[in-house]
Amino acid sequence: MFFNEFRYNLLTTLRDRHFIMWLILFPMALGSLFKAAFSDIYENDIKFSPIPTAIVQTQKDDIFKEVIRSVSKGKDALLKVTYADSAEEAEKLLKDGKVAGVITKDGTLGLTVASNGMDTTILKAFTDRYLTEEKLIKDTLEKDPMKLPALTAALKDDLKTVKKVRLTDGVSDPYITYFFNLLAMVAACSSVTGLNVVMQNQADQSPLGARKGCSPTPKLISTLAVLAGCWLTGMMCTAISVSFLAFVLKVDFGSRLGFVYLAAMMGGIMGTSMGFMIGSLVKESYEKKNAVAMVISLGGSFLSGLMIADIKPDIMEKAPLVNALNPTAVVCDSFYYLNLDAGYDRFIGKMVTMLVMTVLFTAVGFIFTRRKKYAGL
Amino acid sequence: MAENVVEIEGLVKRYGELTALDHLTLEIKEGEVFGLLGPNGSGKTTTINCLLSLLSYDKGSIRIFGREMSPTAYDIKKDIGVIMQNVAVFEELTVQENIDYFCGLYITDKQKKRQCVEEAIKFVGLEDFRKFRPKKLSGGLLRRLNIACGIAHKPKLIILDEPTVAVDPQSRNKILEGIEELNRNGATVIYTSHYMEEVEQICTRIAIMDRGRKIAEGTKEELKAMTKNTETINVALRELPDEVLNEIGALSHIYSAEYTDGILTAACSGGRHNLIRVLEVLQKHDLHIGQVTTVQPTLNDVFLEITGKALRDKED
Repeated sequence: MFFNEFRYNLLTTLRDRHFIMWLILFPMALGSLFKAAFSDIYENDIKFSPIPTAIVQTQKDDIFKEVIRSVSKGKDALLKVTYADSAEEAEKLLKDGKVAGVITKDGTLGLTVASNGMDTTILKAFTDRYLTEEKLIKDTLEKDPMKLPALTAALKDDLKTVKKVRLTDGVSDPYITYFFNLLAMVAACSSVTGLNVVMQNQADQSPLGARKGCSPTPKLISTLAVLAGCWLTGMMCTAISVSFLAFVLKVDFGSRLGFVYLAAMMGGIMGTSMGFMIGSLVKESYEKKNAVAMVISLGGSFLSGLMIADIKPDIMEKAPLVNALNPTAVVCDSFYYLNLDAGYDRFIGKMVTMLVMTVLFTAVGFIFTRRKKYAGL
Repeated sequence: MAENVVEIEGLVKRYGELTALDHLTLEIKEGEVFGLLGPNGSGKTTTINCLLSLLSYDKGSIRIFGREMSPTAYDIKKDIGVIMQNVAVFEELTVQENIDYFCGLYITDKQKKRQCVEEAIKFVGLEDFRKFRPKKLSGGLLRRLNIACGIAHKPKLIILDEPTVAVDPQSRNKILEGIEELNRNGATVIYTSHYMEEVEQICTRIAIMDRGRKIAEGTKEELKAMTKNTETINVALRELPDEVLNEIGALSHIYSAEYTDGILTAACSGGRHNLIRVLEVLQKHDLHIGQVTTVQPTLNDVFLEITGKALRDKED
């Protein structure tokens, strides 16, 4: 009986056009929109671009030549090099704004820049680092030339990190927070599937509920089976959204993608249980229950910064309880902490909060649907 | 003597000031097709919902198969099939999947379930529509699917609450034939309707309800015998002098005679050869006789006589 209910609940949910539209296609569309809107920001301000640099080398130096060649090749190049025959030619390139700096290598290493800025800082860091590590590079080239690529790669990565760290100032990239909010919204909107638990099992809610109420399948089994089916679909929705963002739109969730899946799916379960609770508390038509679920889900998404990113810090500062009790914000925060923290303490805290909310919502749902006879149908 | 399948005693259901069921007592025997007849709002559906333990009630008792009915009486519920007034199927499932799902609520054995589903599909004649979703079905086919979902598990007691509402005549006949066949196969049937023709056609015993009360009960013959009217004679005449009308009205067993719009209507109560005696009077006065019909009393006449109002709502 349980698997009969479970199986057919999955089938009906997965064939429900509204479900596919709002919990799978809509997040994909919104994610694509975010990606399109933020890709310029990403390309211009966040993605690292090789720094156009003029090189003037008047003295033969194989080590310098090899290092410049290493840091200017490949997709992850640090410098975009233009070799100039004379200092005058290089200065003209600098003056025309075609390069950000000129590195001169004669007896010593010199750097000329036109203005202050991020590229200038990195060029300065590069020349300083070269001077510091020149001997190390020379020894490596002489004793174990195979290790040189690894050494220059480390140099490139370190310097590129300078740019990223300076830009984000210790906070997540602004565009990624929108994707976190989007995932949290999908989790909260899973509440719509949770409404079905009530609609399909309460005789006073639908003809289907009445028919099932006449059957010998105990209501507890029926409710649990439908709820389990809805949990699974809630998890599927969030997992599909994470997969679409990560693998189709190539949104970078960092190295902890597995935990992003985990948090999103836990959020889906919580959202579904929230729908179950809303369905049991709102003794009105499906349309009204749905409206309440959507208002709570989207309202929660608004307060957690889906529409206006700046609202979340204000809520955290002025009404921390609202943030702590907002299911969407809880899901969202789990992603933030995963992204920001080196450890897992705060992430685990949010996961526990989601679990507690799930248990609470489910318990309330069961309490308010335990009735087996009705005063009116 | 057949055993009672359903025993309802002194059932009272109130909605605030409104008494929906007023000390209703019914006994339904095994093998019967029992009709609950009454106008909209008479308490038929409330009776069914109380019977199925979906609805709480204020007073009285309900026993099915000799046992007390309750929401957790799963051993009783497994032998009951329900076809509600509103179609209750999943829009997202096909005809076959819907029947399989509802059958699965009653039967866990896969082999047995598959067989029952196949038989139910054949029974309602939906073989060609098994892969169709409900929204692709006509109103009549949808009602048949609704019935198949309720009877696939071969219940001993089948409760049909107005299953032919908004159904075309062809599908209605198919449904009624199906109910008779289910009964022939051994099921006891409770059938509620406000269509008296349907109830007259298929029910072996009938209870007429009004305002939550049972106002009459018996076979259709027993119910009709409750009316004063046993026969109504209609004769088309070009003219009918008043003295002839008075002469007909004075005949024994004719308690009312009137002439309106070229039709003589004579209501009879008992007696024999009433039509011949009326025609003899008309021939004696050399009147030109047109079409002659006699009408037997209907359940509506029973209802009209007991309550003073028509059984069927105006909109029906």
